[in-house]
Amino acid sequence: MQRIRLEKHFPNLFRVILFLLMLISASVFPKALMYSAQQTSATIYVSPSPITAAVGQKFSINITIADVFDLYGWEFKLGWNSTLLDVTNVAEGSFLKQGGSTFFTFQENDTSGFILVDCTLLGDLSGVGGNGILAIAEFCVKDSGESLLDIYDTILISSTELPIIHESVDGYGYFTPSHDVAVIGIIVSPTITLPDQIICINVTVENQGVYGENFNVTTYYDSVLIEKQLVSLNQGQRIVLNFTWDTTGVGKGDYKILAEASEVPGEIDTTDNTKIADSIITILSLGHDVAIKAVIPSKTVVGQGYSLFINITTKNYGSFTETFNVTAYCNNTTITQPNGKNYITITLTSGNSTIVIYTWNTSGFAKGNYTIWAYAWPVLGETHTADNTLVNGWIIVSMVGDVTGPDGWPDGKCDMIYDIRSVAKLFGVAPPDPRYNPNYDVNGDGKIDMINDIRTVAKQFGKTDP
Amino acid sequence: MRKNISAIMAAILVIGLLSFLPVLTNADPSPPEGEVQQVWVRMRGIIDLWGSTPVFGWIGAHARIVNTTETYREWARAHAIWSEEPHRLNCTEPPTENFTFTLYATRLINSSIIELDYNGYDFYVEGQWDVVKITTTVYIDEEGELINITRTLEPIVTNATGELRVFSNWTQFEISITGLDLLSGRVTMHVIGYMEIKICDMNGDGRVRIEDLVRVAKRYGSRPGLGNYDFEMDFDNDCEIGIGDLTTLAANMEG
Repeated sequence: MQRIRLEKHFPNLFRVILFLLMLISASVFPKALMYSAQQTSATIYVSPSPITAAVGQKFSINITIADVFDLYGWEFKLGWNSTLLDVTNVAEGSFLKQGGSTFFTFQENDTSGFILVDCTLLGDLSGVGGNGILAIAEFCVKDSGESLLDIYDTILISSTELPIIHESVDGYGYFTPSHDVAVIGIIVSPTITLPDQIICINVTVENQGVYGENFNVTTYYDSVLIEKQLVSLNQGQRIVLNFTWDTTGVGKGDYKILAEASEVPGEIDTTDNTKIADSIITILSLGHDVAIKAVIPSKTVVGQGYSLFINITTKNYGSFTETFNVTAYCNNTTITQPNGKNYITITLTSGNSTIVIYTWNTSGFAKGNYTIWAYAWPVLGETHTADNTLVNGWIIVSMVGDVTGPDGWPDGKCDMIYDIRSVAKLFGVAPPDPRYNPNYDVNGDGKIDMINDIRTVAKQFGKTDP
Repeated sequence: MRKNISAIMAAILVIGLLSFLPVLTNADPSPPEGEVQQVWVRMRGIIDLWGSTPVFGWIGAHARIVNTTETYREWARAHAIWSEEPHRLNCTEPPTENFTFTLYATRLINSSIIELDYNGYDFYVEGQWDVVKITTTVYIDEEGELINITRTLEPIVTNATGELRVFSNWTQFEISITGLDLLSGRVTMHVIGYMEIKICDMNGDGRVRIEDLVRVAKRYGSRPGLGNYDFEMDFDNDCEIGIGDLTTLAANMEG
């Protein structure tokens, strides 16, 4: 194969190409050289960093330049978390003024949380070299938290109007509540006691602000004052305070213990100034004493013939272990369990409680409202029997499919708008989903499904309670 | 081997030429598809004649022309300065001896018509113009240091009807102001854009930033006849690169 020899046929072609390449090089290299001549180790950074300030305080940061040469003008943006900080002032630093008169301007955007700052020397002057402060930004802390002090889009210009290569370093801020005291722990002992005994309450309080604080710490049982103590804490300090509750004269029952640190001037975060003990205090009665504490049905509307559950909380307030029976009633009728009994027998040690679950099968019960209540059979020697009975709410036994109505309760008919749609909208919903409505869970299996619930209701569409 | 080298060199050449394309393609951009909402125009020119008198000067104009629905406000800026002493007006060095120098300046005060392709003109602006005569006297001491400048302004016409007319395919222009001889010259640059052409964008990168500010700042304090004055940076048309120009530029910076 014969090769085409371009250089032979076009002897001047390569000279032309070389000439053009030289032209391109001549246009590119000087610029590259100029840029490389501007290469410095200049750094623009936020100082001091990290910085700490308290809510309500003002603080300033410097935007500082280091190791720059021939700086004539500069520009930067500084961003921050606008939910924590507001910029209150932006001022020119001293650095560029060393070179002569300057023009300084800035724009602030508190909503987005940034400032754009520009500065230049004025006139035909040389730039400034070395280290110094370009600008000073003052902020006010609105809320506690952390924020990057993000310096970006930085531009440094030399007196020859060329960019100066540099790097930028962000700052960081920690913003603490200024005045802030808190109750961070509360421990009570013992949690079950005989009457007229002493309860120890240990309350841990902490000064989470940046100033020393004097404040009161008060303890309560339910809303009744137990004791108040004055405490002095330095910044960050915590202390455990010992309170004693003499329960003399306090009747049997369950009591919540609350500790409260008084609000200090300038305090914003007061949500942690109070704390309730995790454990309740049970004060017993001497002798034998059982009680019903709660009666909670699993639903308030049940289709006739379907079952529901009734949770009954019982407690032994006496000073002895007791074995006793609990019976649930609908109106004046005892509710018979699947095992044929109309009571459940339980044993409780002193001061303890338990929940028994009654099942009520509504087959054979007429449609209507039923008051639900529970009864703890008195134990031998028991004299305080008033709390052995507890009435707590009522249940509607309705026509199957009539789960609700215009007023939120069964209206005697199964229609599309109130019944079928209500159940269908919750298809697939089960606890702990807050949308779960046990009244729409027709068969009470803990899930609103198609077959047992939606279809059951739909099949009743159009029916009216005779 | 030589063939390979040739191919490489040809590739380098093509890449090099491609890098020049943005410079070479300085034509007006095509309008975007759909209805054009607004058109931006910027032009610069050199004034050669004032009536029949040879002069030297500059003209600058900047306008926004809106669509027929007038969704946007229409405006135009135009100003010019000229002198019968071209070397003094165009000097780049500071003065070394006492002198008195006269120049004329005009600027558009209100515009009533702003159009492209209007009655045979490529660009046409009609409105009211002011014209002033500015006499500057410079005093230099024995050591060549500037010791004083006095400047007097004498109105020539005020609120006079006038027109800026650009024609001959954007190569020629005229400024015709009632009570003033015709000013004419050649267009040195024009841009028509469908995106905003920013007044203070000195380096033409579409943004107003520190690079533009520095350019103006370098000429801070300069005036026509005293060297270093740049007509394009005199945004407030006061024949001095001053704080008004810096603040105008700063106000046009985008955060």
